[in-house]
Amino acid sequence: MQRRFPVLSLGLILVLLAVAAGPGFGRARAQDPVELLIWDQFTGPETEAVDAIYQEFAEANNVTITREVIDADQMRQTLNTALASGTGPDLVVSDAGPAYAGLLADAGLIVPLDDLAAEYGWADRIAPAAIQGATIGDQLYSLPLTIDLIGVYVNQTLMDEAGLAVPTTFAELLTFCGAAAEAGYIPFAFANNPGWQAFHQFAMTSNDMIGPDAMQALLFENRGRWDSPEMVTAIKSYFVDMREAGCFSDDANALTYDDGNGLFFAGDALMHSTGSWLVRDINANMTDFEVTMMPFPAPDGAAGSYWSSGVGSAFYLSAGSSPEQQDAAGRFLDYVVSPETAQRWVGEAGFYLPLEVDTTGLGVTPLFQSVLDVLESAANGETELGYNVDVLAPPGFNDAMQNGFQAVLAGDKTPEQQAADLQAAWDEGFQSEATPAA
Amino acid sequence: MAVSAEPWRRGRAPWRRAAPEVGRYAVLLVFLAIFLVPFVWIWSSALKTSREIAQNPFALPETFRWENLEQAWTVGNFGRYLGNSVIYGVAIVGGGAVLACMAGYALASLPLPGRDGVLFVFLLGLMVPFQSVMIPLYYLLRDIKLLETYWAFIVPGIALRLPFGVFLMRGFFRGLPAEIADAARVDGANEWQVFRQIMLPLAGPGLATLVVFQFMFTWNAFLLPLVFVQRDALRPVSTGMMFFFGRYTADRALIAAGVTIAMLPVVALYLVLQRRFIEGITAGALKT
Amino acid sequence: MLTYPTPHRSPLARHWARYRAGYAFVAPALLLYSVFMVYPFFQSVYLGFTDWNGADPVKRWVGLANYRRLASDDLLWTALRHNLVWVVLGTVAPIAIGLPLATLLWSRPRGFTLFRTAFFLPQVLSPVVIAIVWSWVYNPIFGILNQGLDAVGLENVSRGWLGDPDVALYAVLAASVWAEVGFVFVLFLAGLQGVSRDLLEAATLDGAGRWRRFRDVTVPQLANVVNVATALLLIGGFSAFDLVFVMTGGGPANATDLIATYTFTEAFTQNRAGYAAALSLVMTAISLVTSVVFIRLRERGES
Repeated sequence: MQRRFPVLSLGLILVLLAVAAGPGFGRARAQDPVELLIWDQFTGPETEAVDAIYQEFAEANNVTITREVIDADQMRQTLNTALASGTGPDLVVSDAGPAYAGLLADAGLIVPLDDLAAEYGWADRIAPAAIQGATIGDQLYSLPLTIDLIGVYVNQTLMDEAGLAVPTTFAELLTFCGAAAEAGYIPFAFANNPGWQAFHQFAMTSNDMIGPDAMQALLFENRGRWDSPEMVTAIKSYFVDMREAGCFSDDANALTYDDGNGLFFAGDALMHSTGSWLVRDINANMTDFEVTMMPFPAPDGAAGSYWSSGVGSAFYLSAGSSPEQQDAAGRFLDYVVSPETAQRWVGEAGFYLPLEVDTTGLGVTPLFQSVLDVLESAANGETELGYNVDVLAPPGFNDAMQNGFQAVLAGDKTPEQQAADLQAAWDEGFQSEATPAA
Repeated sequence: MAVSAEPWRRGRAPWRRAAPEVGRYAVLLVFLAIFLVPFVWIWSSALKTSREIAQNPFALPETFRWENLEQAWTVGNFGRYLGNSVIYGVAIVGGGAVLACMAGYALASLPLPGRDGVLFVFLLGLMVPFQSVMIPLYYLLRDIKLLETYWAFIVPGIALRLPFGVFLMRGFFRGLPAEIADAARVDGANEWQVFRQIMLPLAGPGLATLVVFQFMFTWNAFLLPLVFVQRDALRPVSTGMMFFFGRYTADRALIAAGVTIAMLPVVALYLVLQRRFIEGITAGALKT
Repeated sequence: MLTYPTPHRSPLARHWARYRAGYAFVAPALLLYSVFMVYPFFQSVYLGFTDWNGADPVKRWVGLANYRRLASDDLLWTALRHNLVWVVLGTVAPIAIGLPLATLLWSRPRGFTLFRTAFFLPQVLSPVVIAIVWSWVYNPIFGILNQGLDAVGLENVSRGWLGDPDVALYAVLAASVWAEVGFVFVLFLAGLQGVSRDLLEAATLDGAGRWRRFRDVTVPQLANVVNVATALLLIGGFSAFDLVFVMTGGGPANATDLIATYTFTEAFTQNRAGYAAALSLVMTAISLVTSVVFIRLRERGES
């Protein structure tokens, strides 16, 4: 007589579980067209071109591509759980290097691309430096899509209006900051919330201080030190001297990257030290201004004034994807770095690729062309480029940069302490984490 | 909640009472501003251009740009996220209520060996933070293939809130006289009928409290879906909103519109049912 | 309570006959709870003794290594210090604000519903919404806080609230307090219904001033509500996560890292599931001890 209630109570749960057939309640089933889920960080004006480029491949190859665009910081916070869940993206566009791809590779979440690279001959198309930057240990863990050039944007129009000369030395730069602030401008649109922006400032000053050869030796072979007097000067120049000279907004640690860009776009700030990925946003937002780009002026005792460069966005392939998806992803990646698509990346999306691309007839802006010229002369061996640090450094080192530079900027930490912390993080990371082989 | 009149304090307008009244309203109005100004600002920003937002936060919109809301709704996928939140709300509140009522009833009124042990285990659950189970739970849900479904949030959502529900409902059932149930048993009702037809209807106020509490928990839960819900199509409005904020952060008008959309349904519900909300929260907090 | 007189059955059958209803009613909840809460909890304990990275098939036993590392982990101590600030201020402030607000509305003056609705409003909002709204409030370029301060001539007070390591924690905490006040406020509003007015009138007749009436007559009668509010805010304070995660991510310069955000990062971005499990158990232990101490105090207060 009392059989009913256990049946009812347990039955309720069973029914709930059994009804699990509807979409979202049941598991996704393999369907005929292969489904690829791609996570990327292209939130800017390039986003429509990216859509079009993905879709062209999808239509031609009986593949369904779902694209989810995720802010870079949030991607860092959530990518690991997404990939490990078995329901995350099949392809991810993020940063190359041990602190990004390397962390995922360590957890077995992404797979090496060496076999695909050999099958499709990517090494013949992609610049060796980019391949090297995407290699961790001795395996290629990502396909480099873009390369970055890091330097200083200058709003020439406003500089001329204000009668200010573009500084060529660090001493002139400090004087310029005083004069610009007096004229009512924010000299540099530096924004350091949540803190990765400082990676690039440090890359500029440290490459200037010790020069690209010594930086290469340090990054790839651990020859040299991060706590040398030159590195202390590199830290002090940007995060202490420039702050004291009034180069930044007082709130630099509180401004987000977009806040800082907004200041530069609106003409509130005269200079902006960041990477070439912003060229497309500048072209879209600053049609009234003439903007140029230059390498960071050399501080006293520096080896020179150098552009910093490194792999920017790169594709990873999830270890959780099915063989069919991995196969389709391989074809997709080959399409991504094909000469035809390369032209579209440059012409429509405004990317800088580690590939040879014929840009005649693409109608690029002078600013875009100027960056291309630098990259081209570097490829020809005429210009020596410095190395962007965070995309080659181990994760602990990047943490030390992120939190440490914020503290130095806030005046809570000396450059000497920060240099010592960087060296300590490097010692720990370089030994235990795989760092790119030379 | 009884409203007692107390003329001793309000004072029938002798002039001496006027000064404290002014002070009281001054304080209340300051706090009213503190609680409402951020919302008014966001809501008015939702109808401005990004440029206007940067210029004067306190100005009214030059023209009311309702299309911001429309755009945010479309690009932000809010229809989907809000729909998902409703699914999670119904499933977690409903499933949790069924389980909590049954267990609470048994722990209050049925003979049960080891009752104290069971109570103790649930009591611990009231006091440990979610983080103490978060990491293994993620891998457990992954291994039983729930992470790719709505269950990834529903199942741990119900489990996490069971201690609260069980204690709350046990408290209500304990307050009911046992004679009623015994009388029904004598009349031949089985235990399920006693529970379903006699006792449960009497625990209505407790159930209402439970529903309000669980609904608020589910709708506002953040860490749980952040870790367990990995497919965009399954995200509730809380994590969906976070990714929306990250992606469009440069477009301030769009963000303001998105925030407005995300809060509107629950604010509207709250305004309509505010007494139930407040009484539910009060009862839930004070009676567990 | 009815019993089932069945003398001829075996003890097991008698046991079953007597208790099966209880078992059946408790079983579904207990089962779900055991599988998805109790079992993972013990898994956490186990993981805390391993150096598992979240991926390897083998979870290597390292004994107490994680716990030894805790002692020398500067970031953990920084986070715990922040949690302490969070728990103390995040508990005291909502009570200190909520209680006076509730007494102001005790007599249900005109506008009562409006005030109550507004003060409680943040409670129904998702923490993500609150975090976004307050990131905006604090924004140095267009945020209303700095603009408001400038407008009333307090330019020197305005700053980059979330970017200054000295104030960022308090800024996020202020948003949290703002959200919690309404909760405490309605609890006190309910508690005040039970406060004896006779005692208050007697005190008034004895010549006690407003403040003395409040301190010596009203507050003691609200002890239970104060206890409940304190307990709930304390427990919430140790596991605080949402606002920090969305507003600052633990920055600037780790100035807002809490043990919950640190645990999340270790577990889910740095591949250190074992160490993160140990961290989560530290958090659990602290919050359990606090709760137990608190319940003891509460019991003593009630008896």
